[in-house]
Amino acid sequence: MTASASRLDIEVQSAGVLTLRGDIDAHTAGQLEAALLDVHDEDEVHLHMAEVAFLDSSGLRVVLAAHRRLAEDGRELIVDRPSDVVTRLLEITGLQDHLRIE
Amino acid sequence: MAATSRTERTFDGHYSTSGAIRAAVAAHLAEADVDRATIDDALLVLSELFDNAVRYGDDNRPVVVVGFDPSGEDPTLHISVTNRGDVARVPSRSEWLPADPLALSGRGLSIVDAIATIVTVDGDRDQTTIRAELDVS
Repeated sequence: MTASASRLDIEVQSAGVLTLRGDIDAHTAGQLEAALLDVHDEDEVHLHMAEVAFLDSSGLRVVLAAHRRLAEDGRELIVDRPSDVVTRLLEITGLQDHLRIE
Repeated sequence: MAATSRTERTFDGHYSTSGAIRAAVAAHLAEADVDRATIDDALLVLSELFDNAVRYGDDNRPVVVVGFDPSGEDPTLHISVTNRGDVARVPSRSEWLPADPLALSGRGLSIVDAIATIVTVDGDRDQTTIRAELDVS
């Protein structure tokens, strides 16, 4: 086995639309946090998560922080096309009832 | 399914090694013919326990043990993570689930508890082990 770190690729499709590919864990969550803090003004921020291969509570913390921050400004975070592992974690935590998922 | 298999490895306790550990465990479980959904659950449990150990352990060298027993009517998979440090640092079970559903942190052990059929916390002032057992379909 090669001892490689987890990897997350974030592609900004357009203003407020981010496509995520790879793993979102304690090692990569900071990348996502920085990308989300870089989104300004858009009323809706979309996270395309169909190609997220791994998500844990460290990644979830960043998603929730963005959700809360945007909501305070009357804006909204939208989780688009979550992968099976994302859907599983949202179900386990009950957050599918609190986040907008499309 | 393959014969009973067990791995035991010590990893450098840093967030950056979490991905490598998951890759190793995923390969091991796939080789043992564990189904993909169970592997995904196991990796999530492993990640939560590992991060917990790195965050609260004293030595940053958690010991990760993954075991798979396909024998018997109910095949099981277990994951345990041991770190140096007082077991009293582990919150009591009643505190595992955050009161606020949108809380930003403190959710790791509740995730483990939701996935695993059995979660045990053992240790003393010097060492902590959290072990989770998962059913294998």
